[in-house]
Amino acid sequence: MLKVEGLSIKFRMDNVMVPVVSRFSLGLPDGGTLAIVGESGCGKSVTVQALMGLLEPGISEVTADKLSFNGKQLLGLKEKDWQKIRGNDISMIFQNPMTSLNPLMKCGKQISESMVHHREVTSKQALQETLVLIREMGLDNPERIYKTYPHELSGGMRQRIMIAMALACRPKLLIADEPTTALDVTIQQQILELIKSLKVSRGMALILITHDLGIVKNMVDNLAVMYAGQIVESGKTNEVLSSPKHPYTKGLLHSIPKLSDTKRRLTAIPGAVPSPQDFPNGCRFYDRCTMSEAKCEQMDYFPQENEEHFTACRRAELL
Amino acid sequence: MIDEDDLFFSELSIRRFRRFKKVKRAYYAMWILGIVFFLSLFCELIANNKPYVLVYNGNVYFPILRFYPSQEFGGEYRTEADYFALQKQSHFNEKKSFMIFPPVPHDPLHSYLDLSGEPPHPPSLRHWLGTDTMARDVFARLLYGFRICMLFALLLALSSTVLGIIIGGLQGYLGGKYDIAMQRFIEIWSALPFLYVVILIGTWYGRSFMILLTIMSFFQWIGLSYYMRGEFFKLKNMNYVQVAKSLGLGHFRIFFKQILPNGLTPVITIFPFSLIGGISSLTALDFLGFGLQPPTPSWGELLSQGLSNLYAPWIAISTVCALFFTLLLATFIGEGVREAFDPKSDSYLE
Repeated sequence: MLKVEGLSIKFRMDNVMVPVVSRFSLGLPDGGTLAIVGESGCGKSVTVQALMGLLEPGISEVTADKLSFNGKQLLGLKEKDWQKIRGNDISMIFQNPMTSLNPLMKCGKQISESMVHHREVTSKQALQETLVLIREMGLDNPERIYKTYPHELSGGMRQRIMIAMALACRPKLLIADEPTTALDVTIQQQILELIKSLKVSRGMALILITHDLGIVKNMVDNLAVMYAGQIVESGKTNEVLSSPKHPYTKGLLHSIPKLSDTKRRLTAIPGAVPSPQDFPNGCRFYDRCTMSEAKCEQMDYFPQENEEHFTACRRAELL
Repeated sequence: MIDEDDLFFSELSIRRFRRFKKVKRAYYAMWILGIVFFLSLFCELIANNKPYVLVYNGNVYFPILRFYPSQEFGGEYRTEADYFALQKQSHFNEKKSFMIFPPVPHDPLHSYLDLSGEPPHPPSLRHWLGTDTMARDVFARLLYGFRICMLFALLLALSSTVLGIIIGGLQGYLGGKYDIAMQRFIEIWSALPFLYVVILIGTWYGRSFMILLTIMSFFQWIGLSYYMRGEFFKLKNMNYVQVAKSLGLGHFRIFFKQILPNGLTPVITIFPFSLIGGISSLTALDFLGFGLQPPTPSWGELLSQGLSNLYAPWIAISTVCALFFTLLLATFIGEGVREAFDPKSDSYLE
């Protein structure tokens, strides 16, 4: 359904176009699920914003060998055509429910607004559908919720409203950009369960963006690990998690604290992510890698189509 | 019903209105100014030299609504009857006739040449605030002048608000080249000497209400546009605007439904003060003689008469008082609105 090949994103910084994401590729079948994992600033959010055409054309530049959704070419689409796709075919949930709702608009109105905008429904139909949708989000008393303003609801409830807004037009693809980062742990689990069950009941595809490897296991079939604007490893979730083929993935998995392991000092990956201006030419993990050698500086691997378990590391077999 | 759009009755708005009510002088000022303005819309029924009803020779006439030639009442001419004079004529009283006048039986444009002495005439029972240099009733002129002044100020505040929101809002919303170009244009535009423009256009196209209103609103929007530019700059980067964009909502909806309601605070707080500005600038222009075409009743013109006839203090005193109280009431309202929208009173932290 969604096909991305060789997606590159550049941002204007001090009047120079700096590549932020380069040669990003992914394929997502109907109803497929994918998680994009990586630390802050590695380009996850920017990538999905590019997929929805949300990047300002003046200060950014998006190029790709192929970028299509349901056979429709997305690259170079006009703003008007993007508006027809956004919210209608592809929807997005944002990470901060506290600030993502308009404080002066009733929650119900915010949900039904895109319904009225995208589909030709009367306001009465929209109202009915909204009430059903609110109930579907696991909120009791939809009539009351419809009339509330965002400040009257808790963080978890607001995130449910956000999900309802995203699903108002029955999109075929839902992008969840760190949907649980701003919520406390018990609510996180509920929201993830909700997204999962909605995904199944509506048969839509899901791209989950997170920096929490712990939550991807039961949520998605495929996993892509991003580092410094590139995919460094991708494949079936179980495979990647159980036998990582890239030192970065391995490092990430090692830095998850385990309850059973109280003696061991928590391992961390030394160093920090380079900023886009000084991305190295070859392997971008070169500086921080424990098993790098001189040749790694020239490495240039990128995922190919139909590759089962991809790694960007040329020394993967040594892991 | 669940679905009515009640932005203006949201909990916050109700709380703000309650806070406005608590500022007593603002609340009463709003009522007084509101009622007086409402009454002034029906000036013709309050101050008019034509009676409501006239019974003459057994026939009933409504001179306030219709034109009757003087011949109708035994006069000689086909011009409109002078009802004031008619009332005193002997043949009128003989025929069991009577007429009921409005509370102020004077027209602001009518010169009372029958009064003894030279105009301006001092206050009397017939002319409560005396007459001006052309023997016109000062009270009637004040009343009609108030209506024109308030209407002008209201329309000016409205039109400059709309212009300010759209131009400033677009600057903030679009940013980039439009913003820079517009900002430079505003700098040049605001440096234009306003008074010269008014004089020039006044000599060319005349000095009607609409022309004056148009010229002034072309200059008044600048102040608000700065605030709106800032608000839109700030708000367009808010998360909920990004969400609206990601839901595929169009620019129009985002501009007016997502951003504007959240950026209305400066509009509402500035509105009463731009009303005050409108009243004073029209008065000032009239005072200088560049305002509305005479003989339109206007406060500025009365003020200049008062200044040049200091020996007739009733003109200056009554006009200054009227102007002072109007501005004071409007300022009270503005103060109350500002108080009501103060976010600090919502917080319990010091």
